[in-house]
Amino acid sequence: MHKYANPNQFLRIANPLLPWFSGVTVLCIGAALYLGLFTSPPDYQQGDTVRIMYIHVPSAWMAMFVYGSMAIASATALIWRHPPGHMITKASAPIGACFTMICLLTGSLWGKPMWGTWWQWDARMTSVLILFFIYIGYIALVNAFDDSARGQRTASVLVLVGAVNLPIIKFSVEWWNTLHQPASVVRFDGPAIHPSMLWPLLIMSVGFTTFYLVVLILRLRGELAATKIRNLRLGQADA
Amino acid sequence: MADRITEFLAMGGHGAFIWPAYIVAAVVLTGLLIVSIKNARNQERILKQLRAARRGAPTGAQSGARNSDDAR
Amino acid sequence: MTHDSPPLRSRAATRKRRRLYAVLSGAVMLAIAAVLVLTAFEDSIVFFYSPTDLAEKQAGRDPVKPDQLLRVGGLVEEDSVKTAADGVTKLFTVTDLKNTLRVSFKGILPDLFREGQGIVSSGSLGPDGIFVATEVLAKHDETYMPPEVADALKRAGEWKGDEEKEKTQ
Repeated sequence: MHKYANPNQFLRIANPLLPWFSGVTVLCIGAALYLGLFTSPPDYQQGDTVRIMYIHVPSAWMAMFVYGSMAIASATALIWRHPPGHMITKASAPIGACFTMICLLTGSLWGKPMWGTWWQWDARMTSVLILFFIYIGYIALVNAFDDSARGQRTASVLVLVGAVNLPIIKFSVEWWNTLHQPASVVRFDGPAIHPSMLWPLLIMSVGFTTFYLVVLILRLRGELAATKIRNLRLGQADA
Repeated sequence: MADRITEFLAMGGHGAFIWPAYIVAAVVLTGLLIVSIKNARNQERILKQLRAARRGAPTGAQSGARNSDDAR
Repeated sequence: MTHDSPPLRSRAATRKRRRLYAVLSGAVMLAIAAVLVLTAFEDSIVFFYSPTDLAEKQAGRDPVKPDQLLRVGGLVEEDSVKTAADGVTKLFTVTDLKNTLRVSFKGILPDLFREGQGIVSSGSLGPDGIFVATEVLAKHDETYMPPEVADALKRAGEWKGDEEKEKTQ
């Protein structure tokens, strides 16, 4: 009973939020697409390819943000034996993996015309590729254990270990010589992006964040139902 | 008009890189959304059926419409 | 459900605290390990050497072998780009504003390649001290702005473009 009390309360809060998050997602992504593709100017150096930034950078941020959320959820789950933490981690992982994949693919599509290469093993690119593999590794691990408590704990430990990669990704462009340029937005002396290009970038990021929340709620609902089904079936087997 | 559309699609000669980037993002995110919705619906449907079956009621009759979560 | 008696609850709290410490100390260990590994492998993580790095490397214990593949990056020096007698090979100088390196390259240069632009070239150091590049990649800085704004900045003499920015790195 105690086990169910929390998730149901979660659904009572999350379900009414779902249409709001969906609305914000549609509005923000729509506005960002309009601004990014139609009203924002080409870059003085990179011409129109700068428009790839409006997808590439928000997905890169989400790749890291989702992983950060998973690490926090895993830590609370491990320390306080709080099962919802494991569930949030498990539900988030495919979303983070998708954002990481988008980041890698759009980066490649941007690198070819501007740098002259689809891929190079520089520290930024390699560390993001490692993030993608950690996501895939976590998903494989957590599914292999078939939702045993022990399996979820093991997979959550992997998430915590992998968190060491986050600062490496962020600061790779400062610690080492890389092909990738340093940060444009999150830096000490303010963004180095003209407002006309910064707005579509930020609005897209809001849209991607609420998209994450929408998909997270949906996946949590699936996870919760699956857990209840498992418990029901186990109960039946006992009876 | 057609010229302006072609010009827009050409993206200053880099359309071949810009549009695939947008398409990749659209396909991956839409795919993720659809899979997540389908899975949630599926699991919730199975759960409903299981509960109805356990209550001894026929699956079709929605006797379980009352929120049974708290009752469990 | 359970009515925790005080000793029980405090035992649970102790366990939680122990797990918290375990996670925290694990994180610290991991961070230290990561720093050590990254420092140890710094040489292979670095994507390219600047002309200064290369000069230091040449003066050090482990100089570059004649056919060793490596990458050198920096800014293309103003007025240094020339076409060789064969009409195909480009010759230019890469600088980090302390040291320079002469580079020759036979192939297609990226769109962004121009004087004052950051580049990374891979190849090997010839016996004559000229770096023979097999690939030249353009590197750009992190500022983004419309062309008009860039022009206005240049006109107003407030231009501190990529050249200045990368100098400081």
